[in-house]
Amino acid sequence: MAAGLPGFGLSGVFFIISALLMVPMEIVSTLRGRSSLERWGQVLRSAGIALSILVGVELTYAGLHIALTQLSSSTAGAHGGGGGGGGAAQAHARTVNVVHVLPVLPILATIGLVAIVIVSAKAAELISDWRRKPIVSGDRSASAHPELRSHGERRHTPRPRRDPVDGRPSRGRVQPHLIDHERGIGELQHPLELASDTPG
Amino acid sequence: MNTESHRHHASGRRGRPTTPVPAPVADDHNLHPGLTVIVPAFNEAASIADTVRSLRSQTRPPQEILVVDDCSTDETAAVAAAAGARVLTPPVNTGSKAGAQTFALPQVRTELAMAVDADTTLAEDAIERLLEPFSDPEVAAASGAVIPRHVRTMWERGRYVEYLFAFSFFKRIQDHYGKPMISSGCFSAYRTAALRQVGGWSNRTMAEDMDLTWTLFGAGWKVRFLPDAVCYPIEPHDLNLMRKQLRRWSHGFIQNVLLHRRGLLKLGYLRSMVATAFWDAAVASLAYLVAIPLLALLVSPAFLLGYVIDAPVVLIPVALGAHRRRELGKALTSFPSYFVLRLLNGVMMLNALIRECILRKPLLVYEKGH
Repeated sequence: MAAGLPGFGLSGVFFIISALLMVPMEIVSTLRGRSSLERWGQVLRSAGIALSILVGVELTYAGLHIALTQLSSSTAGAHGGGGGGGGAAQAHARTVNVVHVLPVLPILATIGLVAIVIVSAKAAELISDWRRKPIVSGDRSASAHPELRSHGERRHTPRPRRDPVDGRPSRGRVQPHLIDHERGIGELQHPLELASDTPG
Repeated sequence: MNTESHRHHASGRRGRPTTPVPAPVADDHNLHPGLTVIVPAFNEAASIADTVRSLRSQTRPPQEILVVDDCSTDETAAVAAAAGARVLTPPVNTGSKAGAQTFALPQVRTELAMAVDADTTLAEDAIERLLEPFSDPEVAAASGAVIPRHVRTMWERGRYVEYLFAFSFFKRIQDHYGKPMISSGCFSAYRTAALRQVGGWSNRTMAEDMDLTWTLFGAGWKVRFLPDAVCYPIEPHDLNLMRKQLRRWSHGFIQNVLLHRRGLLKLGYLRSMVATAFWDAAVASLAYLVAIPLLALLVSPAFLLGYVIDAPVVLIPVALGAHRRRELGKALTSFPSYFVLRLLNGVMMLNALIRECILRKPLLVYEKGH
């Protein structure tokens, strides 16, 4: 979920899993000498929030379970009365239920659904590779709708040479991918066309 | 998605048919070190002075502030000039925030460019912090955290909680995996050369910042999120403005998914993130608006708990983020508003899905919300 998107559904679970996976991944990075204290701070913070969320879910679920159990038992009591021995047995049953209240099935089902969605997306990539030539760069030729047309073609190789903040020479870098894309725009006139008409 | 900010014009679509226009000439040799800020503005006389002053009082002020007065009918240009900005005026209204920003791009002479909304102010060290990752030559864009400047109405409060949640938890994880879903349009810095390579901000979708972010990823650039670089935009304060903003965001998200669908498939983590977000967009909306009410009516009222069952899940990151800002009380009192805003998110997203994917009636007119 992010601003503008509804719900804390699969995205929420996806990010919780992502946060928890950061720990083993950072251990591997540390072993390879590619980690830092700052990175570990970020990792532990995110993983800590994820764990807190899981505890929060469990406590919420347990609280609801207790509330609903008490509600149903009090309703049953009002209808059928009951002796003291029966009440003690019910209390014991409630305690046992609360201990075993972890919603294993819903959690597994949700994680399974996340896996299905992610695997489906991966499958779409493989099918796309199989059906057509692989696309290396951002596909600006693809249009969401016929109204969103595309045109033009440019080819560049980015060549950053200096630190843009203070002008110092940059250290060596891997050349970014060669870009080969078409630029699409909507029905609106492209502002650069306006710019070319503007003096100064 | 954070379509954290796409806010601009109330103007309608331009009637002229599109003709092929070349992308801008990338004259990167003439760029010199430093930063130029582009502020697109349409009838922003009430807020533009605060924005320019905020930019000028930064610990690391920009070399130049370009305000694009997109044919405002108020005193935006005069106010911006008086505050110390250089004002550019297109011959006609460009029709969108993206249009106004790209209009200014050829005027940028520095190696870094920044987009800031005309109703957005920055923490005094925001620019300094946001520029840190650009020492890595592979970084093309960076965005900061967003906190609503005013938290008074229910809608502002809902957005406040939403932002605290996203920027305290999700965005940090996205950054760790190297794929922030969006470099927020209201406050982002870019490597000018990279921006020019991709033709600036495109107006082909309603979420130009998401479009640009995904395009940069596709071109092999890195995008970063800096949680300590904070900006303060004015968020929609009533239902009408919020509805307009959410309409743009939801349509923009779907348009970008459709537009970048092939490119996204090659970007592992982003692909998974977008796939789950798209699922939520469809299923969560249906659950909130159809499934929960039906189950509550037909099976048991207890199903109404489904609207708030995840409250603790949301509350934990929100409380942590608010505590860090010493705003815990404000966050807690704002918390219920989040659930109202979430329902509206569901309505707008479902509507956008139906219109974009089923009816094939894309949103093409950029309506200003905030």
